[in-house]
Amino acid sequence: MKGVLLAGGTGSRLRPITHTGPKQLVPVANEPVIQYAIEDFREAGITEIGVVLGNKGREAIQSFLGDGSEFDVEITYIVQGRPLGLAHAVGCAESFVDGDDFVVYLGDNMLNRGIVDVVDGFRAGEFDAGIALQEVDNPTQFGIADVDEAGRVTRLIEKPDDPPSNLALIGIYVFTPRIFDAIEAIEPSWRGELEITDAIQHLLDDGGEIDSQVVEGWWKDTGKPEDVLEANRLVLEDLEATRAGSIDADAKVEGRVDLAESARIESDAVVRGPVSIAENTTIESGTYVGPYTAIGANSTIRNTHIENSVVVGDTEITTSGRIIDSLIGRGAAIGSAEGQLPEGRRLVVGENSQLEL
Amino acid sequence: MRVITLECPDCGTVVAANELEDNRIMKCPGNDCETVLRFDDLPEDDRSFYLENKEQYRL
Repeated sequence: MKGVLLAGGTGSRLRPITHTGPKQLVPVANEPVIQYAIEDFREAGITEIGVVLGNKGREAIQSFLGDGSEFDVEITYIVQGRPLGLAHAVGCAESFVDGDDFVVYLGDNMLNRGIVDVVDGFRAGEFDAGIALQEVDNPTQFGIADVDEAGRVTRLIEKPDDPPSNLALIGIYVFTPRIFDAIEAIEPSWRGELEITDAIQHLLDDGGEIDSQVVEGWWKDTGKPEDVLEANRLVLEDLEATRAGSIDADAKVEGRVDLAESARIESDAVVRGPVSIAENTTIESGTYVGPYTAIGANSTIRNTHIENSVVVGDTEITTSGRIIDSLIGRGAAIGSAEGQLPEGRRLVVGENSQLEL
Repeated sequence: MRVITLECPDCGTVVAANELEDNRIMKCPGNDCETVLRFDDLPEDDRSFYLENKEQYRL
């Protein structure tokens, strides 16, 4: 079995963070989102992975993943170019898949318990496809599957007014090569995209058997800033902390704090986990780093109160103000205006930034 | 809809026809691959199908 990881898309809901990089490389607990998908594939025994790239952030993703050897997988790149829909992206992988069954994983999604159950469920029967589902509170906002008592999918409906179930498609699919015939048979939707739900529905209409697995544990689409913060919180909740870095004698460190070897917490700083602090980052004195915060590499935090936030990296934060529930992009500098006249906040803010002052 | 792609003969990187047609001649986007890929490398049948149905491959 092979893996197809979809890593296209514009990341428009994550601007301005995605003005300078793809959404799949936004860090959650100091690890790019796409790396969690690679690890899930590997855990399921899938090491041949095709990564489908769009036009946005292609080089950055290739630079991060390389040939996959750093992650103990083998990566082949598939350049989709224009975003012509998920079914088009999957169709582009046909020569890579080369007759095998394969798992499709959306590269900005995260699953608490990985894909092993989905893959095992598919392998346990003679199915033409398998889809992962999760119960949601607001089924009118999702693609919804209608399933029978045995868990076989009977139909799919996109954002239904009158949902037949609360089981949403979460972007993990297992396919046999039959999906490629279905993709060839369908036409682009009203929005000009070749929809994967249309291809799966075509499989069903053609007599195909489609298994479903209801995924336990959390699932997050990290498409929006609040989703990144929530995913960061969820991952840090299960953090295995290794305090490899240096902690000065008068620093106060409580709870699970993952401190990279070259990171440092100085005297009179307070760090209360779960917190992740990456390489070459210094938490200087007078700083409070509160729960559910991840601070990226090469950063300096001084005299600041920060909690429930993601700092991407290469960042200097020296304001005496309190920073909460924030996503701070690479290279940002947040200083202090104290003592400066006229009094006021001095901002250089990029397009699509969001500030609550 | 027919999905048309070309596989780099040297590194296996796959490129969709829309990307090839936009560039006509391009260096393979695979990591460290220097192979030159051309829209004209596609089979004649794929090329003519793409050009006859070009609007399908644009958003």
